[in-house]
Amino acid sequence: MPEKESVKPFIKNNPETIKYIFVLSYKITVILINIILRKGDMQMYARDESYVRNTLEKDILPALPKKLSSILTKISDEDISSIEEIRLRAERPFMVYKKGQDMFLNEDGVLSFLLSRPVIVERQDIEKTLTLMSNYSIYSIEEELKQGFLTLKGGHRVGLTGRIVMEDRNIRTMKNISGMNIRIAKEIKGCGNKIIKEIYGEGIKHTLIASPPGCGKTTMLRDIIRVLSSGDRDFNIKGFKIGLVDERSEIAGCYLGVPQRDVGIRTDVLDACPKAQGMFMLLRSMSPEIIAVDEIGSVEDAEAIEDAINSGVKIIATVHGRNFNEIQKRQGVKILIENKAFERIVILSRRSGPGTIEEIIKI
Amino acid sequence: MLKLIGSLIVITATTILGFSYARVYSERVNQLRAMQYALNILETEIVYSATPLMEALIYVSEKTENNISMLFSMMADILNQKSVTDVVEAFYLAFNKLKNELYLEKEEVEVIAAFMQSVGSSDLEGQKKNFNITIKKMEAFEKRAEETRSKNEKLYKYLGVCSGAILIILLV
Repeated sequence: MPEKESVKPFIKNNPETIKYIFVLSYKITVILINIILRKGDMQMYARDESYVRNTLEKDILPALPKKLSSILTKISDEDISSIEEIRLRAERPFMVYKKGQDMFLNEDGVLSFLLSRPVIVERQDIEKTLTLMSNYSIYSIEEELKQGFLTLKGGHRVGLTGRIVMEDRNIRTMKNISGMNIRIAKEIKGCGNKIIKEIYGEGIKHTLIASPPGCGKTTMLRDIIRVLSSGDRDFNIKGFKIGLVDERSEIAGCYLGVPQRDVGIRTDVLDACPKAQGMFMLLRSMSPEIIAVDEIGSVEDAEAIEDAINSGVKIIATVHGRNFNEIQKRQGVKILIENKAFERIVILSRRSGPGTIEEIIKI
Repeated sequence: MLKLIGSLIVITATTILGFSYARVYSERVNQLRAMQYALNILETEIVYSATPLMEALIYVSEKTENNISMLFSMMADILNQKSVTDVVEAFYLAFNKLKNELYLEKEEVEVIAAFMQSVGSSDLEGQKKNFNITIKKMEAFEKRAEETRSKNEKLYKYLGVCSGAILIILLV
């Protein structure tokens, strides 16, 4: 009895407390409902963001000098998930490119469109970055400097600009590196499923994937290769021997010759090999069922592809171009299309994010 | 009897002292030779197969012995952590840890440091030149160290024994 009495007056005497309890329980319910409703959403999001942060920490931050890497670690989780490129330009602000827009970074790792307190990248910062990226051995990346790009461990591509040194009309090397574009390679498993379903329902077709840069061509090609090479029960694909000519080391992202990206279990990779020569090499020696190449365009490429098609090998290739008319401006592609080499042409855009399929043209 | 034991102790002590002084000279020559050998291996690795520096350093440390091997493996470790901005820094860090074990003179250290300054930071042509110059200089150092060794090694050995003997004669 005394217990009840002691409780009753407590509540009666404190209408504030009752109100407080009501408000609190209301808030908790709202939060719970939110969590239940958005659970799936949040999980997806969390995975993606930790993935980007992990790759940044593992592959890219060790290759940047302290000054820049410490800023990148301060970027909030929300911002970090959508970063596509990191841009260094000598004597100019440190920038990142995300969701199709470039943004300035300030010292606290805050992204903004405004040039307030920007971090200026010094010439020495770029030199240090190059030293770190080459593992303190510039001589070992001589060939890469000639090509104008490096591949980091993890398959991230770094584009370089600077002063070119010529020798007999050939590029001998690049010095005074002044610009760097670090493209964070993203492996999006399952992004090619739609194309695979539409194209490879009954047998592999010669395919050309076209889009402007940065629309997910390479990512798409990688995923298609992975599925076709490893096989997939859902699509009833048994797995094919694939020869991949990876001229720019971007598809397989080879580091010391070993693919850093998942390109399937039956894929043979010719790393950093010129496309036309590489296709002939694979044809001659590796007996591929499918040959995959990135960014074709020249007449030589066209000849090599026709040769491959004539020997019964299927081709999957990509090309830069906004639409069907635009890709035909490239001589090599024009010849191939005139000869009806490709059976399917897929046009990608980034209308609703990278990798949007605009249309699939059947020839 | 006591005198005999005492004099024996004195003479062994001075002899050991003399020999250890003499050892410094021969050790110096050995280390300079090992260093040259290491540089030669490093040159083949870098100039002919363009191996990245870290792997080349580890390879060199496997092929050489004792302290020189330690120096190179330590450098590779430091570079692997990617905490330093250039190779010289890694060299000095490793060198300072092994300072007491290495009998290199200041001038020699400077030459090696200058070499480390440009190793890895230029193209293959530059690397070749860098190796040529450094190896030539190291050869000269070795020659000089050899000369001083042949002059001083025996001197210190005799000096050790003889000074012991003189001490005994004076004391007894």
